[in-house]
Amino acid sequence: MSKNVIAVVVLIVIVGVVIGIYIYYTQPKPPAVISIGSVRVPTHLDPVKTTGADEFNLEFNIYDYLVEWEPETLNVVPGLATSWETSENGTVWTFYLRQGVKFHDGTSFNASAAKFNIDRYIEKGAFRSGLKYITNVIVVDDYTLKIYLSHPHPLLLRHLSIFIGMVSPTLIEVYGEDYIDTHPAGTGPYKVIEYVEDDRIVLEANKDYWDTPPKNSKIVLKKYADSASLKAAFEAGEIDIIWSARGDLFPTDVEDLRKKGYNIIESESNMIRYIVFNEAQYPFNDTRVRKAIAYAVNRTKIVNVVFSGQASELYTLVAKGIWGHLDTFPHRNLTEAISLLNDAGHNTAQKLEITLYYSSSYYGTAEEYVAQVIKEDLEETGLISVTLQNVEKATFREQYKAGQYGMWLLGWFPPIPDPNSYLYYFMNPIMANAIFSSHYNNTEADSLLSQALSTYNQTLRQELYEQLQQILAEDVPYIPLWQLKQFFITTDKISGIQVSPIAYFYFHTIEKK
Amino acid sequence: MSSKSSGLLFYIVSRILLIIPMLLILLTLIFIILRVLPGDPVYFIVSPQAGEHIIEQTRHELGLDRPIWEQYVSYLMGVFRGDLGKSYITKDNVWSIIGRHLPITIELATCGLFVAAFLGISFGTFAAYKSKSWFGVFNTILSTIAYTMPVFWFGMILQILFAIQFRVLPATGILDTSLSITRITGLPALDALITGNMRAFVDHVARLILPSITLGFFISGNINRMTHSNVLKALNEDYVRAARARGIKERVILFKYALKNSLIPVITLLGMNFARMLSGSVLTETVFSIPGMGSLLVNSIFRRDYPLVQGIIVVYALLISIVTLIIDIIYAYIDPRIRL
Amino acid sequence: MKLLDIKNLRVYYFSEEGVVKAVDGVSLSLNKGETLGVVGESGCGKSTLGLSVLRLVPYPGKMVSGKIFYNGIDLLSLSDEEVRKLRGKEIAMIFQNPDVSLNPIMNIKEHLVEAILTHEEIDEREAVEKTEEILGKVGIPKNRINDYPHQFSGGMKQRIMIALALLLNPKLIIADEPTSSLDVLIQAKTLELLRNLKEEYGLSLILITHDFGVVFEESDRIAVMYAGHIIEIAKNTELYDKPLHPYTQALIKAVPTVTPEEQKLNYILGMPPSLLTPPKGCRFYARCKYAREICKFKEPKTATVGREHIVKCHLY
Repeated sequence: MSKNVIAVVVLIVIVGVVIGIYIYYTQPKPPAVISIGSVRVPTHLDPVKTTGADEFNLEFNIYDYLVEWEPETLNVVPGLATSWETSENGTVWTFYLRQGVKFHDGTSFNASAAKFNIDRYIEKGAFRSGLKYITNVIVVDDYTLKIYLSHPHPLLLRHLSIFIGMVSPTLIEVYGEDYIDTHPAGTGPYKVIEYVEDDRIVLEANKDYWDTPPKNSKIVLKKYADSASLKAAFEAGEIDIIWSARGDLFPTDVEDLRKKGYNIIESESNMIRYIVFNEAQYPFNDTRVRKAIAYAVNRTKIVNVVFSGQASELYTLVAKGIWGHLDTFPHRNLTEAISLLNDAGHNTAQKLEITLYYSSSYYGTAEEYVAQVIKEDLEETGLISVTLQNVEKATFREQYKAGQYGMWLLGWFPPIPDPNSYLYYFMNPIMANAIFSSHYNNTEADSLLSQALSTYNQTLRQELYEQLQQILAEDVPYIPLWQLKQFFITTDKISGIQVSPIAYFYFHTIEKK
Repeated sequence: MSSKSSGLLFYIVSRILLIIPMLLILLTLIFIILRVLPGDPVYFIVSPQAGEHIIEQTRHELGLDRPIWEQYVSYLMGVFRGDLGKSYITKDNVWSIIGRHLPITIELATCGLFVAAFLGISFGTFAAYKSKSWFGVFNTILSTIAYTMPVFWFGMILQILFAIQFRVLPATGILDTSLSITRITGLPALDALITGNMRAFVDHVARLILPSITLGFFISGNINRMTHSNVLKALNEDYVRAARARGIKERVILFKYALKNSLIPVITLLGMNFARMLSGSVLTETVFSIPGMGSLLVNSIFRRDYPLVQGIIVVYALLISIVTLIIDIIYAYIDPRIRL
Repeated sequence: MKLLDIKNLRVYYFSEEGVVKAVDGVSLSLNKGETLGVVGESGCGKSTLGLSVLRLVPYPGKMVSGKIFYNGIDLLSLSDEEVRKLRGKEIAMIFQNPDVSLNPIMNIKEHLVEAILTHEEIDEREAVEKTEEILGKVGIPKNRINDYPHQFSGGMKQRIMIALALLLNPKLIIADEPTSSLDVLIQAKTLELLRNLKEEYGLSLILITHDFGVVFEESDRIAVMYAGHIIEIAKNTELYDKPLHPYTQALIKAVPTVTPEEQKLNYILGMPPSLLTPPKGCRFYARCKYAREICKFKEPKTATVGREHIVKCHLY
């Protein structure tokens, strides 16, 4: 009897498997999907909360902005505003809005929706402190909007094109603020149809998009726990594109994939890496010591040894690819470093003892090698002895902000492609203290920064920022070290990837054969 | 018979009631530990570019500027209303976040448990039966390898072999990116079956194979050793000799006499491992990029997402209580000497 | 005809310390319907002898030489499966410790039904009926049939073991110290039960025990074992009246039918020899008050003295 039972069970299993396989192969295949793998996915999608690059990037694909910019050139182009004009004195901007545009939830886009979003950002936006120059937003008619400024501000269009994504006002009124974190509705080329934190975000092409509709129908952003599983998934054919925006893949992994014949698109990313000094702490209160360290570090070695050439040496804080970039920091010169240290009263008998703090849980394992290289470089002077201190991610920021470190490794990837984004936060005394606790205070630099932020004159701005970069190299409150590269690794089926120097990735141009 | 079942009911109810004070103690502990740990959650929400006042503003919005006891009381009140709060990072309800991750972990843990039980018990039993043959030696080596080998390493070997080299099984994730499963119960496999989405079902199940083997093989090491030594001991018991003297078949002696009598400690071990797997297997989840509870907990601890960490701990405590209760009931079922 | 005939059996344990010669050249026979008592101190090999008949000598024990005929069949030439079919059905065994001889997770009914169904092709209902009947005979009430071993007393468990042994009407029962773990009152009752059932079923019985009292009470014939050898076999009364071997003589004097003071006087001095390195000569040499020079170097032959009285001693 038990034998019969076994026979029946086996039969059922076999029949089930056969039917299953039959259904599996006869069911229609789902539409082609382009999957993009990364080691991170955005954690929320509300523009007012956004401060991180991953969130910005996705928002560009689901929201539209009054003005937008071409990915390759970073030039400003019309977005939801078709044209705009400025008053004589430069404090009143009039925007003429696109008609017939609808949010993903069906709400129509118009001037009051635009005002709603600008006001909302000024009230609670993460970067609202930088938008204080906007004094008023007025709805002239359904498709005309006036923005009043307290003074001319060269970054208005940039701010509008990056910070203020247009969210459906009805959505916020009906579902509340927190709802759009995971269920956004913009007017952009993609709609979010599935959101699983720490796993995936699924985007569906917006068929009614007012501009050229996306060349693909579905995009899946897939998060992988680490570099190894990301690479494994790609090699197993589970994802079409690896986007390594800021060193997500190990340099050796990139090389391995290159050898295996995958397509690799490589360009600068917007992320810069540098040393920060706390000028309130001995011996970093001595400019000669900071300068000596700037002379002693060996960027070539970091780039070649640690990153196998997959990074660029950086001699200023403004990233390559951003206008105004000017190399001002000196190349390596040990003799100069030694003489500066001697001047500062350090000799072989009494070596200068310093500690370099870094966080490999924040910036990846490569950080340990970088720290090691810097230690060797500095100790090559024979006058410095370096202690390395690796700090856990969760406490790193808290501790450097509390002024506990004298010298540490940090990174910066500002959302706005303007030299101001790279210089203001480092050189404005209030910002420099609030963000880095670097205690850098140069009044001349501060006034140059303000000057550059209140003119529309591009030539003048360029001159001012070049001057500021010269001052940086003189004062050495920070030492720029290297700039990361971004990589797009794809299979042969993928084409149409648009590369932007600021490491944003627009999905609508990608095609899959 | 009726006295037995009412005893069982009483036992279950009292065990469930005991969960409440345990939960309270646990929550208090985790609440304190999280706040004693260095690292400010605000720094994980606000990027370095944002100014100081944004940090203060965010801290206020999250209620982190209130005195700790006030935060504690309001949190506890929430918990007893069944409200675990919202994640600091995604602002999503903690219940619904856990609701998305837990079913996946339950599936993986269950499959892993089956693999572990199958490998561990069958190999361990057979090795005890044939302890004097080459199989005994082989099994000792196998079980030692299983529990000393690094999990992520084994997982990666399987991945490279079956997913990249031969391409017979998928390497990562729980579902092909081109597929989706309508959510009904939350368990992807079950939902795919209910909705008749065979393509997604097959794909999903195929993706569970390598992680389950990785996890199951690792755990099978201990199960194997314990089964082996217990069956070996049981085979030397007098009742086995007496059964042999009655002419009972060797197969029956091995399973009904030796194995079944060895199962209690093995089931304890399995249950403990199951509870452990339910709390997520971070390494396996990492290698195979599975969005389960383990990676959720680790990520939320790293980001100091207090409400999410606390919520996960509450759910763990509940799950572990339930699992141990079930184990106790299984004991009573297997061994008549145990009365609940 | 002889039901069981053991010829020159040697069972050795190949342990790590060396070869333990637990049964070293034993010849013994059993007639149908007879009760044969095998008596000896613990460690003399009597339990191994009992297990040998069912071929249940545990690892690392091995039957090295000799033959065992059961009903004319050479047991040692049978396959494992053929022997298994004999066990319980033809030859049953009762063990010393009833507390650990039942599977703790099976109830009584399961034990008995399993044994029946293993050997007989009847349906389960009949098996249950048979189970109830046999349990009735050993005095276990019907309503306890679903109880588990831990719910019974030691005496009851041994009666269940007896029921298990009698269940399939075997022709031979080997009882290895069936009562030694029970207290005296229960011991007597159990033995009485065993005796009655033996009569009723027409069984043959090998009663292995260290207790001379029990052996004289129950057996038709008695074999005395010492250090792996059988040193004397005789009919019950003959052995009691006229023990030949010095060891038997000493044992009979030690039987606790007399007062404890007297018992002490008759206690045999010394310990039995190690079975790892048994002495070359007579194994009782070191403790024997009649020991001579020859006893030390030469193993005595078995001598038949009178009718069916066999002794292994240089005195005869």
